[in-house]
Amino acid sequence: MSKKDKTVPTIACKVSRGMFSTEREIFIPADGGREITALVDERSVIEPKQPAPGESINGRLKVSVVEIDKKSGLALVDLPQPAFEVGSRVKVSAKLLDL
Amino acid sequence: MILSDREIRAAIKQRHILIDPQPAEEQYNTSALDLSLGEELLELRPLEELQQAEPAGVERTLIIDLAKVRMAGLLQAYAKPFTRESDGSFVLPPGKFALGITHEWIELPRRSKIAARVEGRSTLARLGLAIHMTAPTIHAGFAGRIVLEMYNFGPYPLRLRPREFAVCQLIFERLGRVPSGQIKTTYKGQKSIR
Repeated sequence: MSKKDKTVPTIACKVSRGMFSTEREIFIPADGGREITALVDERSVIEPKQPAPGESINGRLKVSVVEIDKKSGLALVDLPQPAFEVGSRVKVSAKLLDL
Repeated sequence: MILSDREIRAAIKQRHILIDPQPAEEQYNTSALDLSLGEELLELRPLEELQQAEPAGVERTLIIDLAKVRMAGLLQAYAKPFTRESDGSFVLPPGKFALGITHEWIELPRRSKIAARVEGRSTLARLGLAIHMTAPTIHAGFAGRIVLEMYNFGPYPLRLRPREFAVCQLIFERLGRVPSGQIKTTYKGQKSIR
């Protein structure tokens, strides 16, 4: 998907090509300085263009927001597909979100 | 509760299950929906192939530390397209592992209170074809094509024709309550929480 879909929350991420041509690999900075990576469908990503092989571009990933803790500035979000390091539910900086 | 074909059809019509392309009537079973194989199949490079990239006399010892490996990077580096026959099919030999992907794209919106399980088909299993390993659950909120971990346990090579046969089935189950998190509604119209 290349057009911005404003009906769902999104999170800023780095996007590169996935294993299958319809997949993307996304990178999200997570709580505690970790980086979360996941392979997701291209339709779950808003990207200005299709990344070239080996290229990493700025994009946005469609997510579901479970909870936002305004005190800590952290948000608990559900990714459309599980991350490699954890499951589908990850804690991220709420600043990365666009609701 | 497992959804019947009538309930699956109704859920698709009401957009509680999103699927693209729309399923044909033959894809419905009494309590499941058949999905077909997509156009891509991947395999992991065998150790011998990786060793060929080393200088003469150097043997590669490959041990993947599951606690430390950056899985996405490893899979991208070690996966390669499966050899495709001139007629567009793939031949999966006995004892071969491959990664496939469904032709259909699925989304299970959280509000729908529906999750699913991907399962093989008994007919194909009789020939030794397994289509997933250990992780059949498609969680509520999932969006994407389903990756299939395929293995031929049988004695014969199997020809796989993308989009031409039902490779797996999805069994839909209803959740008791909507999963936690309704921030989208609460913050609707707000640009950001910043």
